[in-house]
Amino acid sequence: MSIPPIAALEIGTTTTVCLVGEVGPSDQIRIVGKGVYPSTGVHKGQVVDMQHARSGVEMAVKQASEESQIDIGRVIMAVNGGGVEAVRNQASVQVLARNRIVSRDDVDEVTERVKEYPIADDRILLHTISQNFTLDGQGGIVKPVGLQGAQLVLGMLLVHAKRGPVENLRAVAVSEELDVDDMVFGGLCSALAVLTQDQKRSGAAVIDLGGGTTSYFAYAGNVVAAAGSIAVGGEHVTNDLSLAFNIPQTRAEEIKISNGRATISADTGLKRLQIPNEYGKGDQSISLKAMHTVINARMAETLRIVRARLAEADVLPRLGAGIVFTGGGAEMEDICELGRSIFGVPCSVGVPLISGPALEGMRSLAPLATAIGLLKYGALAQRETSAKGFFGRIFSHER
Amino acid sequence: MNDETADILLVGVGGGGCHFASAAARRFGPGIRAVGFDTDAATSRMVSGMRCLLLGASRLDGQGTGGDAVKGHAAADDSAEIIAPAISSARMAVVVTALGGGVGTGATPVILSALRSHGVPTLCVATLPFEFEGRERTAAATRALPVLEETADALVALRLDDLYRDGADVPVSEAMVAAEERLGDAISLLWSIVLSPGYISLGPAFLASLLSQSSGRCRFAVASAEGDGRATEAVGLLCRSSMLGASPSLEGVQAVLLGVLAGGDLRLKELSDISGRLRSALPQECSFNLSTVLDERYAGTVRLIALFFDSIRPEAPSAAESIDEFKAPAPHKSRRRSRGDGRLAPGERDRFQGTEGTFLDGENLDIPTYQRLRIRLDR
Repeated sequence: MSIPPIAALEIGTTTTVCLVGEVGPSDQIRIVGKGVYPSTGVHKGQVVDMQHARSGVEMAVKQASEESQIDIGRVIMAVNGGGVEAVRNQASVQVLARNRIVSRDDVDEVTERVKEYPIADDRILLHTISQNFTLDGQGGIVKPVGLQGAQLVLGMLLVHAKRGPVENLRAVAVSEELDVDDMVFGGLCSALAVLTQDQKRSGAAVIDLGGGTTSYFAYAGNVVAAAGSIAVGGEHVTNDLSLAFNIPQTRAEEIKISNGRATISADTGLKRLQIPNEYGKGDQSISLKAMHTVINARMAETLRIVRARLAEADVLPRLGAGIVFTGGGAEMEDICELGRSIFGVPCSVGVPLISGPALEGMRSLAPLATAIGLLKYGALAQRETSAKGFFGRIFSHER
Repeated sequence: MNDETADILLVGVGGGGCHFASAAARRFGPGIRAVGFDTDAATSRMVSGMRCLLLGASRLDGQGTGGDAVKGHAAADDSAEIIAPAISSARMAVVVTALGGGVGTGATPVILSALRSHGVPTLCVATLPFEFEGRERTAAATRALPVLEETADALVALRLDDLYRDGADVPVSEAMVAAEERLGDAISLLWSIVLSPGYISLGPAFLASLLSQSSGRCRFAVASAEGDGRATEAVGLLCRSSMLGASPSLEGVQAVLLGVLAGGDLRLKELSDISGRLRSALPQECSFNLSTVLDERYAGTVRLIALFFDSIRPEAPSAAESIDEFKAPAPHKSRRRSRGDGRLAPGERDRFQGTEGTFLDGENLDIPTYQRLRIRLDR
């Protein structure tokens, strides 16, 4: 049964992205429409001005619709702001059958119990991601039905965020007369976009370095082990540069992109960077080394925060495939070198494995990883729904 | 006219913008450097006093966009090699556009960004449609404003209904032409006070500097009066001008550029009167900048034009001399600042000033890392 085209919408702090993908018979996705428009009214991944945010959505959706020749009425949306957190919960049940053979009912019962985790009223549950089962102390069980044991335990990662920011994102889309089929954590999408099955099995963490937030999503021990976001992103790097050298935000952004580097290198020496002067002001030049120092301080601090979160979740020792960076910040020179020095594992820049006429000529797909992942999520969800099954194939993911 | 004429560029974007710019060029006469951009080849035949360059010729073949801003945006994106040579030598630009249509709404941000990437301070004057043009057109125009606010140094947003209110029972074409003439007249006055030598002259460099320091919207008004009491009357009309919006208030103004155009019969007392009355309507800390132009064309009248800036940043101190020069490559197209509640507070560069902080273990992560870690920078 064929799946209709899917539209993904990501309202980022700096960029609003809308992608339209056609899903082939083997679930491969071909991107046929792309809309990318600078965002306004979004701060740290949260909508702060509805009217401003709408203008970015309107233009991005129109661009994607025109290019794909598809009328976009429904979208899946990404959530990165709102302090996304993940908490691991665990529940257990006694196996009902006298012969101690685990049944489907036992699995359903423990699954329902593990979801009964009280989250604060001002927060909303985005995803419940099943981890492995444990049966009488033996862990790592994927399919317990038919196995023998007395006590069945299930671990689950519950991903939640502040309700207000999530609903505000949805409201922006609705105000543009779009139906929102789902709200998906951006870090999850990035992982879908760039990680291979081998990487997931070996253990890998995707870190999405966005404009307003930094999100992470980690696999370890063959399950999703950690997820979350921090309201610090590329804008903080820009702001740090602006304040350090007393230059306008726009100039700081330009030099960050053109001459930024995540590490401080002795090669830089005494080189100075000439800032294009603004009319009426004197020429200005800054030390390149000082500039890299400012960037390095911010990016190293951000990555250390992520490192601490991954360590809390006991993920770090199990990252056989290392760290994969995505998002605009992944284009920063030497980001992998910085990552290696902080995490002590191999680091690489994620490349979404996807193609399509709408992507031709693009220098890098890293900034589109979240939106690409949204399309993959949407395709999986539709396939699972059409097969009358719950999500189970990739994550054992349930909503 | 002095040599700096060539450095100030008037840019019209879209059919409406080109008509406004053309009206200003006709009013001002020779000496105004103006260029227009549109996708519709017919525009160049309908305007005078300026050259009109075609956007998106390969995509749209000299036709209009049919009101589609996406097409307007794409046409401008396609035409970088046409836009750049026309704007690159400018030292300051006033960009006029009529929002609601395809090129005005879609292409103006692209052209503003191109100007910014060449280091050109910009004042964007954007009109919003007449109410009779319909809700959809007005909504499209309104939604474009945040984008323009980000890409221009200063933005004046004017409703056409505010530009022309002199009677409902006139032909539509007359209303359009009247609005066009009024805005054209106002822009030509701006050119006059900036370029014409006068008793008190501020010059293009000053306006450019003011634009560079602006961080958002500004407002624009003109007024004139003649006869006895003309100074008092003109100031009164200026402060109540419909161009200042539905509820004109000058309470939050941080800087004003006031131009006084009059003939040789302008008295010192009149100038003091104008200055004093306007200052009394402004906040005490408002920066007040006066320019006068004496021209016999204005004999018997006093004409006022004012730019009111609602948000100004202070000037940055200049950096130390360089040892070895390392030139940065040509600036990239600028990215927008985040606006809304996160907008820069007046006088501050800090993007996060006045916004909810990101706290971790009691530490505000919005404060630059190098500051919190007390890293000494050898700038």
